[in-house]
Amino acid sequence: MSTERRGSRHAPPVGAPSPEDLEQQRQHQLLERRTLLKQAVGVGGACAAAGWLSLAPAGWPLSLRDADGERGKPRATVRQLPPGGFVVPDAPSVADLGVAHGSNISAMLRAAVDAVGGIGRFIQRGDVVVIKPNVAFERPAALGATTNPDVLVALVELVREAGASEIRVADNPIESPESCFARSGIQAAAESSGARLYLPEPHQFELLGTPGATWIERWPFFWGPFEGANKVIGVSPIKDHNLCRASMTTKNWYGLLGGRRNQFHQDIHGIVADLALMLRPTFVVLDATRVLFRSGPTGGSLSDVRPGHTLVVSRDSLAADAYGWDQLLERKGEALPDYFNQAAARKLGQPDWRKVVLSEVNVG
Amino acid sequence: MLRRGTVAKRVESRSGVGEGRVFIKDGFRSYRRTYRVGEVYWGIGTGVALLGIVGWVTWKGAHPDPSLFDMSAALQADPGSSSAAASARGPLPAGLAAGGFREGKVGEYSADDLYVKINGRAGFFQSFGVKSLHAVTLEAGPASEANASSIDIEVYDLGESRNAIGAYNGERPPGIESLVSDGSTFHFDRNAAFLARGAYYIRFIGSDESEAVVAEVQRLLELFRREIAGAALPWAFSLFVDQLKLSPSAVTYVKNNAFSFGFAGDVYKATLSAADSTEDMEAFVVARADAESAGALARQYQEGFGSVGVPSGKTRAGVPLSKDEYLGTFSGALATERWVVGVRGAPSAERAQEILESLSTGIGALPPEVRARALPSADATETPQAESAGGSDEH
Repeated sequence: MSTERRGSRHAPPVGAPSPEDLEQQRQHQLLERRTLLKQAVGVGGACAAAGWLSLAPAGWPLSLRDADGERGKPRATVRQLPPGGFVVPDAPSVADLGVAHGSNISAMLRAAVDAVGGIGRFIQRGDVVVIKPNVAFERPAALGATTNPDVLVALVELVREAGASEIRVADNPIESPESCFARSGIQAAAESSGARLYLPEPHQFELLGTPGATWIERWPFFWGPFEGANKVIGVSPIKDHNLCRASMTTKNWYGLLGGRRNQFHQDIHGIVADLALMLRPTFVVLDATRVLFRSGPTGGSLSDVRPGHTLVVSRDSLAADAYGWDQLLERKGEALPDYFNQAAARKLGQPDWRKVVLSEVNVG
Repeated sequence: MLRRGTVAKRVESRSGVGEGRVFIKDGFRSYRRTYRVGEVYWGIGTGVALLGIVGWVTWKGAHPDPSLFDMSAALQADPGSSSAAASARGPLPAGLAAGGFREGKVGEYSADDLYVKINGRAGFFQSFGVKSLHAVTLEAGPASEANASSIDIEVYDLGESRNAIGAYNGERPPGIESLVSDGSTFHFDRNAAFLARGAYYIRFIGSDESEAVVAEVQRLLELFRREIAGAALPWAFSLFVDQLKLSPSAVTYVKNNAFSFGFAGDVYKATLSAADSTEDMEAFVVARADAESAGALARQYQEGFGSVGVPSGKTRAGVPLSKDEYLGTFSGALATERWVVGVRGAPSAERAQEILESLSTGIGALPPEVRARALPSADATETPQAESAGGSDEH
């Protein structure tokens, strides 16, 4: 080995080695044996350590064992909306529910917002505001299945006047989002009013944590528009719904979910109650300029739609929806859909609109 | 002074003595502590190239190609690939576009992904055993223009004509009469038309009530009536329309959960009250494979009505009647041959008896050809409670 190779480079020994040479050779061999032992211990220790790291059960100290590959995956970040949501402080001297009737949408919206404290109560200079319309279907707005684009325009203008630095419009229709935004008129409304339109793209979805939720404690959420936003406004049409009986401002948040959300239809009332927990908005606008009173949520015939000439504004989605159920869908005698009760049990709103302070105005 | 191509210094270890090596005691090793000028130039060049790529990607991200946002291609049919398009069209007739309307892209959906097209409404069609949906939009203006007139056509394949009739009637608003002609059941409704033909239920939904849109909806309705194969009306129409002289508009089919009874499937029922009446009286009939099965089912109906009412005597034929606890109306059912007939919501016991007798007489008078095709639906009898989402009797 190395000794032979080294020897081969030098001249062969001449005669018998001297005692000094033998002693030197013995000492050298001792040194080499010691070195070998040290090195063997080192290598053995390294092997043992590597074995421990790779083979020790995953829960043991320093173990790197990853039998199923799960430990090696990057950990998904679970996002959280602000604790308490996007709500503004209470203002006891103003109404909880602002209702405006008329035909001038801009005037109606201002009147309804003024009734609950005015836009200055909700939006301050520099705010980044997300507006969530209902763009669920590829239908013209006249058929009542989507938010009235004129209401969206009026809302964007109002929010901009209050000093918002950025206004974002976002929804996640399951069917072709481009077509839904185009056919509903929401894209044109957002662009013409200067809002920034967010169409759903895969990279804009993040896991959202909603502690206490039954179905969506951790669920993909349309996070992109909410990055850096500090105010959220929902603006939804009022519709009959085949499964949950009525789709209004609380159900509207369904459009922010990603993933295979249709599975939630198995417990539609449970998921709507979860939505009330997931998102506590700055305020909501119930768009009853048209009322899709049957064949919802898709509609189709103009005979299924009647003019409502009404906008309802509130911080309390349940109160706004309850008003819509009684007064606009005209189902006063019928029991409220169960999601009202489930959300109310979590103290997420007042399902009896008669128990909140209502301000009702007629405008031009 | 460094010059290109020169090695300034090389440190070599020849002996390995004192390095504590384990495996290679005396090998040659080079340890470079300097670099060539050329390498510096290459490094700088590579860095600049990478920065250029980053800059280009950033700029392209900020200035995307406008064609990326042009939805014309997505909304229009692909003029090529005609054979693939033909198979994807399903029952949609060729050449739908006419006048100023342009045909868009055909969408095809199965029962499993129907929610993609009609989320929230899919359960209604699933309750009728939908097989597929083919949808297409005819646009009058530029693609993606919000206020351009358009007509959405949705063709639901429901497998059997009875399901098509049931879905059609489930969506037909109260008070609107359907027209029955030549194997088609249909009606117009302002901007839209609705058609049940053969195994298909078809919706034509105009964006508005303009003359052009309404005319196009009417043209499309006639086109589909010609191009889609019709089928004889389900056998129960012979009982209700021919024997009992009711309007075809009054007759519908409920696949599951009729009268909110889990066992009640494959039911034909006819509304006996006027649309503007406060009464809600219905007659119904169910075909079974044999008399024994019919007798057992009739007892289930009697028990079902009894569970929401109180016993209220018997008819002359000994059929027990139940009086609804809350509504005060009378209901009952009986087996006649291999059919079950019944009445729900009659205003009096006498009226309930009268209707039951009419139904029994009508069954006896059914022509042999009708009796031969009056068979139970296989899937409805196998799984009477399987598909309850969006119950068909919600409307």
